[in-house]
Amino acid sequence: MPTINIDMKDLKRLISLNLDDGTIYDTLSALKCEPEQIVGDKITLEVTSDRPDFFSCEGIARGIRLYHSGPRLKVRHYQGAKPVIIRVDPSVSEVRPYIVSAVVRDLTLDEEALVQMMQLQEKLHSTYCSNRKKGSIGIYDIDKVCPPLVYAALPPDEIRFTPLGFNETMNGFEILKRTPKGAEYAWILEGKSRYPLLSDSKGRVLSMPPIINSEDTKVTEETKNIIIDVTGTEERTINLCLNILVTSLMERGGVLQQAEVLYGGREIITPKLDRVRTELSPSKIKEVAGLDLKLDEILGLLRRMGHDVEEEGGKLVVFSPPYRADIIHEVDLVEDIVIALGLNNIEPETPKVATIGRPLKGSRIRKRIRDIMIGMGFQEVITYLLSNKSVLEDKVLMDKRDLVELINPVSSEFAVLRDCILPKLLQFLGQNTHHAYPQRIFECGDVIFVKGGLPKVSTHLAAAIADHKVSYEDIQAVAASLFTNLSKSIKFEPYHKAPFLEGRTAKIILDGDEIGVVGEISPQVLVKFGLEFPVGALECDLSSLLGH
Amino acid sequence: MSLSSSEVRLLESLKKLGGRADAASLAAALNEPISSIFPLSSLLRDKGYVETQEIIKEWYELTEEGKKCVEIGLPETRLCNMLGSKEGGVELDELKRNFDEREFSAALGWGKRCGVIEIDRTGRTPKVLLKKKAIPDLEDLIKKISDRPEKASLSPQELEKVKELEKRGLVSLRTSKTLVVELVKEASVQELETCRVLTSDILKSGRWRSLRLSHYDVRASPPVIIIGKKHPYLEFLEEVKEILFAMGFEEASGPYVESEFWNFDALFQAQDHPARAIHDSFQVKGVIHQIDASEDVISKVKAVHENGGGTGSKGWGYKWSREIASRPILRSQTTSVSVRYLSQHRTPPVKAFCLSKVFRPDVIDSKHMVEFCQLDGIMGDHGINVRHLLGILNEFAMQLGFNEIKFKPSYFPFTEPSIEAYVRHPTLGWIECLGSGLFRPEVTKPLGIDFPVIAWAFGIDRLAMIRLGVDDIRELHTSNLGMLREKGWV
Repeated sequence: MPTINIDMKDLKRLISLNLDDGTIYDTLSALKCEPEQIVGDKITLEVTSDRPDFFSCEGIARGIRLYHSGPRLKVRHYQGAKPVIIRVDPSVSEVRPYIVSAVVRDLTLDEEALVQMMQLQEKLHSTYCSNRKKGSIGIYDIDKVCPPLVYAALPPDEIRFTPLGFNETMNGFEILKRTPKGAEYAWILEGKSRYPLLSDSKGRVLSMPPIINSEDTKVTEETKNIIIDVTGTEERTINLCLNILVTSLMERGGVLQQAEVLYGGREIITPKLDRVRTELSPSKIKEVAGLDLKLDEILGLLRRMGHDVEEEGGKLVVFSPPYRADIIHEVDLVEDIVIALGLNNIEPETPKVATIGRPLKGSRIRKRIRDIMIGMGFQEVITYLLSNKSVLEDKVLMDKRDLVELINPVSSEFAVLRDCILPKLLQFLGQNTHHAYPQRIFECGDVIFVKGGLPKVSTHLAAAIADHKVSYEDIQAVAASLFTNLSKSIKFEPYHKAPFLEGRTAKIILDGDEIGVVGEISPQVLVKFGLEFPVGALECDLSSLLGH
Repeated sequence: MSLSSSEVRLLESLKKLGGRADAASLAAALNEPISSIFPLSSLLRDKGYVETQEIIKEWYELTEEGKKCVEIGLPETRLCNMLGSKEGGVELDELKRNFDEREFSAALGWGKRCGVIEIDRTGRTPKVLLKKKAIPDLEDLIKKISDRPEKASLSPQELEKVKELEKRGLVSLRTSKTLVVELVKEASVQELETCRVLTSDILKSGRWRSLRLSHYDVRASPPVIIIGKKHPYLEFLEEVKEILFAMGFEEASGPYVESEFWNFDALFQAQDHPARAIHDSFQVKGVIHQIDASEDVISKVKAVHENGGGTGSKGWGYKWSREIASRPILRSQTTSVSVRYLSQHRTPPVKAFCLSKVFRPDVIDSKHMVEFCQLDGIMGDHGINVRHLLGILNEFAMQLGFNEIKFKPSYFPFTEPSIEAYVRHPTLGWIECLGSGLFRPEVTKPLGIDFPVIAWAFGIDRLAMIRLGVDDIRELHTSNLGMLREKGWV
């Protein structure tokens, strides 16, 4: 979940309702903005990724203001000027086909406003924009550019401008190589022969999306009028981002001037700022939330969450603000009603659904097996399903075989799924040589093996005895007692298999099927685990016993 | 008063040795190590048979270096001898070559102090001259020490000088303790027939009738017994399962290696959802890419992602990829088991849980592990709603021993409304422990479920850590046998 930094003074100014701190914190929590850290006026909030309009202080302030029935934002349109024109060259279609834009005029941006603007951009980039791949935002001082603007894709060596934060011009290749942002986002343009470029009517460059803006058109505290562009690969995403940016900025004043994007054959006016229409049946509120609410209560709660509601033949038609990304089903409106009402104001009810509780098949036998092992004096241990590959292969002298292997492990200790348990027990014994002997341990757990290219799960039992003297009979007796106590009769047949010693190993046969191995561990293996005591061990597949 | 056989033997030997003997003589007579004489004699002293006396002896002995000096003379004696044989003195550097450094400074210091030698620095190189003949006073004393005299036999003047030799590392003071045991009471015949261990033979022969059994020190610490026991973490998980069985939940299980379809797509997580990025789940190789679901379910899930698929939802509005959904991963949430279970149990009521391992790439530290347990529960029936969700969570928290629970709105891609819960621990305060909600229609409808389902996921390892009193999540799978053996768990 994203974390957002805001300033309490800025927040209060934007809320403009004279709420005390306690009320503000309670409301933040109710709106899924959880304070993580508070240092003076600086607050770090964890917000949820379904509410990108809460990725900056302006949106959070608006949420709190509406929750306390404060006034709504009225979008003021810029009088006396036509939309800013952006011509889209067909060359972008292969690289980054879409652009939307807006101008906000008469703004006063203090330092905190700039910080919030940057944060909002950055959080939208890292979440909804999939690290700028689906969408990327540029904000510039419009008084430094001459519309109409041109959005085109150019060969990188024909691009030349001063990237933001530098004092020399670079071409497209140099920008990807020499600037930190270039290095970070170069993957998006990988394999492209042309890079996108936004420039004005005089050829002055605004930005090379999605990499970097130009130094010449940057926004400062002196900036009064700004132009925003969002380019990308998906129109739904870039429209949402633009709506959020524009509505957030206008919380600080300003008037909106739209942009007209000319695709050659298709013209669109942005930002659209369309409200989202969703039909809500009042019965759904009862069905989902178990709440009996009167119509005027429902209307009041929805309005406090920023929605407008109209009645249409027994149904409610809800219009949600253009910055809401999360209203895709009527249940999302029910959640808003629950939030506005307050979860802790909803009476819990113990459900009267009568059912029979049941453990997994085989649980009883599994428990019996563990009890028998404990009765024989074995300590139960548990090891991870994830394992070091060499513990399962080289260290136990076992052949390479198909294992489920991780493509992106975080440590070589946890790189494959185990297909047997005994090597993990030997590793365990090797880590405990300083504890008193005899050591008798067992584990009953799942293993994952590959059969016909598919991962299969079965439950194994492995046990080991390490002592000054351990013989085949010591561990054979354990196997025999275990099965006798399960009313099963097993046979032992000579066997040779790593990590066991030849002539001191048997396969365990139950009803004609080989289900396990028992024997003394080869000294070659013992030394690999740093063990200076002989070890007798067994491992059995319990599938048939558990009825799997 | 009963006596053990070794106590009796000691008393007999002591009598033979004339009623008084030191520990060394007793050990020799008994053919036992001297260390066994000490505890035996103190037992006998406590029983009133002997008196014991500890005698401390102190004497001086030559060190290795001291022995050398007795052989070839003290350094100062050797210096006088060398100077006496050479007219006109000897060069300082030449002398130095004949002594080691420590010896030489001791000899030179003594010579200057007694006025026996003089250093002439007028020449090109300093020379040492003999002023008068003298026999160093320590020479006699060191010879005396070679006889190991007792400290008490030396005069105060001698002791003063011995200290100087000690400082020079030529002699050392040695001490020894000698135990002298004196017989004060003889053992009677009756007291000899005692025994420590009652054996089957003694019982069978009837000898127990005439035997005395020795007494134990019942307060002494007994030997440690290493027992076999169940793993405490599994015991806790069993306890949680028992609670759920009692609440009428059926246990469910599912594959660890899961398709992205069941782990994400069926849970309405868009394929470009940030949580599906490679760093949030373990991708695996070595197994076939496939979706373990019917074509009907697959096509409905595809539709719900792309356009809502007639569920009343707008969907995510993107082109759904079957290839991505087929990719195998290690399940990152047991909710995958819950939706698999639902797809197989379409008739209400449904109450099931899965308590098992999930896997997430994370930095491994005391709070995070790449493999951990999650508890997922679902309950579905006609008429089930948020209030029942709060009710069941309340009940479960109570059963786990938490009397207070509070709820906050939250966000999970597959539930709406989404709710997280905190329980109050008597010392740790509010603990965030679970995420929950009603499954979205986009989750249930493609599976053919036409009734509401509440779902919750519990970070059960956090509670296990609190219960077992460990503050590192890795200790739940401890590789420390000592901890498993020695720690008591309740």
